Formats: sequence, C-alpha cells, structure tokens
Amino acid sequence: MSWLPCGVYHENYKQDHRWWQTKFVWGKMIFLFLFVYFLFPRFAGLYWIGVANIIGYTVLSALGVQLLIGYCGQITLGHAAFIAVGAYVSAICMLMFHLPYVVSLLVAALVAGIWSVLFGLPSAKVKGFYLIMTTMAAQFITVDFILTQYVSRIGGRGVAFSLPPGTIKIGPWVIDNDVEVYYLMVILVTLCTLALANLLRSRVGRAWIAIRDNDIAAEALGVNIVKYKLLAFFVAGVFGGVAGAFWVSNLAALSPEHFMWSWSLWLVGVILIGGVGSIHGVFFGSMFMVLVLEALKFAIAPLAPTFPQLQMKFLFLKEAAFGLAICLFLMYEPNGMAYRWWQIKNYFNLWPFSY
Amino acid sequence: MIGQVYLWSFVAAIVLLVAFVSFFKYTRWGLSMQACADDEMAALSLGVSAKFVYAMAWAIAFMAAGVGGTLLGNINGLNISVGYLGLLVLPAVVLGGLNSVPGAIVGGIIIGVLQNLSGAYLDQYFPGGVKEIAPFAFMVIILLFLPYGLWGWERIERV
Repeated sequence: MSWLPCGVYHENYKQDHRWWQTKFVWGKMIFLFLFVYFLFPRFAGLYWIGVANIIGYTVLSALGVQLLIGYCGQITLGHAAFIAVGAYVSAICMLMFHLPYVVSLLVAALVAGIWSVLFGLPSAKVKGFYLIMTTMAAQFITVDFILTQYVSRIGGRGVAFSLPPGTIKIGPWVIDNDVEVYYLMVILVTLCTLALANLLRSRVGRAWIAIRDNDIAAEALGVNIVKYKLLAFFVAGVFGGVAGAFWVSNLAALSPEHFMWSWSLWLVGVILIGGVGSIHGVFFGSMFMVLVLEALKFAIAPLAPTFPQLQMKFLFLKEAAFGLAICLFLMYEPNGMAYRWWQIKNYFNLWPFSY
Repeated sequence: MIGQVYLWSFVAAIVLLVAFVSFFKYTRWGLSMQACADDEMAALSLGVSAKFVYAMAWAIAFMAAGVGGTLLGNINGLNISVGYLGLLVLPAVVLGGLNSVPGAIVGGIIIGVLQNLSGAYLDQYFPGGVKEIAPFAFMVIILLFLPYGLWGWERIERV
C-alpha cells in the first residue's frame, strides 16, 4: 500500500479497486511493458538475454514459494521437487505423446499441483518445523528417488529426455534460441504474476493471509483452513510446474541434477532477500541473486591471473556469497528489498513532508 | 564378534546420553534452556538470559555433533558425504518428538531399524535407493498420524 497523490477521488468501488490509479503509474507500467517486450530484446546482447532468462526462471519458481511462505505461512524447503515434476511431465508429454507445447505445459502444471497437494497433506495436522520436514521429504522422495531412479531411466539413460531443437513450438512459433525463450519467459511471467496478484486480493487470497497471520483465529472466523492450505499447495505446485515446463525450453537435455535440494534452498533465499509477503519481492530477490552473481563474476575476472583458484572454484564462491547475502539481509534488512522499495516510493510520494 | 570400535562407541554414546539427560534435568543451565524452549517471554520475566541460553544451546548442539562425528568417523572412515547424515538425523528427531531426549534415542533406533529393514525387504520391489529415502517416507506417514512424534510437547494454542 502506498499513498496516493492529492486530487485522486474515487467515486465507486470499481475505481478504488483498480490496479493502476494514477497517470504516473500508467506511464510507468507502459514504459515497463515497452522495455520488457520491445526495447530489451532488441538492444540487449544475447548474453544479457540469457541472464534475463535465468532471472525469469527464478521468478517463476519463486512465485510458488512466495505464495506458500509469504502469503500462507506454510514453510517449504522442497519446491524444486514440484518444478522437477513439471519439467519431467512436460518433457514426457512432448516427447512420448507428441502433444503440443501449450497442452503439455498445462498438463505439467496440473500434475505438479496434484503432486504438491499430496505432500501438502500433512499440513492439515502439522506446522512449523514439522512441516519443513515433510516438504524436505517431498524433495528427497521425488527428485532423489523417483526421478533419478525410475523416470530418468525411461528409454535408456539420457536418451529419452534429450530435447532435439525444434521440439518446442507453439503453433508455427518455434522456440529454439535464447531470444524466443526470452519472449516465452516474459509472457509466462506476466501471466503468472497477474494470476497470483489477482488471486491474492480475492476471497482465496484473504483466506491465505488470515491463515498466515493466525491459523486458529482464521478457523474461528470460518475459514476452512485445511481446504485453503491444500489450495495454497496446489497453486504453488501449479506455478512450480509452469516454471519447470518453461525451463525445459531452455535445456538441451533434462536431468535430475537441475532440481537438487540446494535449488529449493536457493528459492527460499530469493524471497528472504526480496521480501517475504510481497510479489515485488520475488522480482527484486531474483534480480539481486542473478545480477549480483554476474557482478561477482566480472569482479573476480581481473583477479583470475593471480588467483586461478577463484575462477576454477567459482561455483563454491557463488554459494558462499549467497549465504553471506542472506545473513546480511536478515540482520540489516529483515523485511527485504521490497520494503526498501516501498520506503523509497513513499519518500517521493510524501515529499516534502517525508519523515 | 563385535569390533572394539563399535563397543566403545556404544559405551561412549550411552555415557554422553546420560550426561545429556542429567544436564537437562538437574542443572541450572539445562532447566533455563527448557524454560526458554517452552515460553521465551515467561523465561525472560523470570530472569533467564535468553541471549545467553541461545548462545549456549548452539555451542552445546555443535559440541554434541562434533562428538558424534568423531565416533562415526572412527567407524565409517571419513568422506565428504558425512554431511548428508545430518539430514538423516532429522527424521529420527521428528519421529521421537522434538524437545524430548528419550524421543531422540528411540526415534534414532526406530529409524535406523526401519531403514535397514526396508533396504533389505523393499529393495526387491523398488530397486534403487529405497534405503536412503525410507526414513523420509516413514516420517511423512508418521507425521500424518502423530503430529508431535512420540513424545513431543503438544502445544495448546490460544488465540
């Protein structure tokens, strides 16, 4: 919630509920739209488009985590499992049943949602630390056992899940290079963000927020908490499935190593840095994680001749930097980057009386 | 014939367990730690320094883990994947119930037995890594029926 400038008078609820209420916000949004859909893919190089694809994948993956942790209070440490289910289901649909990409994306989202509900069932009885354990169990059972031992061996190891270029197409639109993947990513991110944002201000979203704030009070108010918790798991799984099905388009071959437990932890870190309980936070967190690590890569490049270890072990350096970033954020900005953004916006909205 | 390493590790584990239980039950520090776990506010108002208790809890937990690592390293030898054993500890603790030392012991035994039994019996039906996964699968099923494990504190929540 931010303050509106003087002279904005709402006469009915329709005006009051509008997303973009002032001309300035409209202009900002139109500029954002133009930037994301036209300017960026036209003028940024291929390298930065690849970086943007990773950011988009992180956003899509973290939306579900944000919904579960930030809006419904169900802490999950196994979201990579649902992303993996989405990726595998969509790959199977395309490669074995020769379904179109859009259909397989929807099937993948549905299956990932149902799979997520299955592991969300204990949330009816447990919460807090015990719930973290069951979601972790989802990760290990799904990725380390079912996918590694059975699914990825269908049709011989590594054969069935290599995606030849040109497999992924929507009608006549073939998605086979980074720019096409970028457009697909932007469309999916837009749709998912709109869906989640609108869901959160409906009856369902208010029920989730009530459960997050105090589930017993929510139950006393007549919210069916089991139903809404499972619905939260379902929707989060659907977003995870969409993320997985999107990531298939960026990969030459699918393997369980893309969806390890560390990726689940990474996603939780993304929303901690971005801000828990805010959709802006998902975007800020994803951009921070990806761009800071890119910056780190550039920063150590001049050091490479003297310390070759730095570049060789960059993966580990990356993880250490990630851990440090989370620690610093939890200590100095526990509300995340979204809160800082809110403060900056309000500083200008209330200027010159901003104190 | 049981190897000497196993025997002495077992004895050391028993001694440390007794030390742990008596620490929690009879010493001032152990009691203040339990008080903080139960209700931090009430403990603070009774003069327990929560800051000190938390710092001490971390220190003691890591000391215990260090001792466990020493015993395990004597038996299995060392490799980098010892860290994953830490994940296996969690189902044991959850099964026994948090905040219960006997729960941790019994949970550890049950999880260990279940793991090896399922490795032996279930492996023919689900070849692959059933053994690594079984503790987590059992934990999910157990949590569905016993939300607080065997002897965890059942919290009565008020709004």
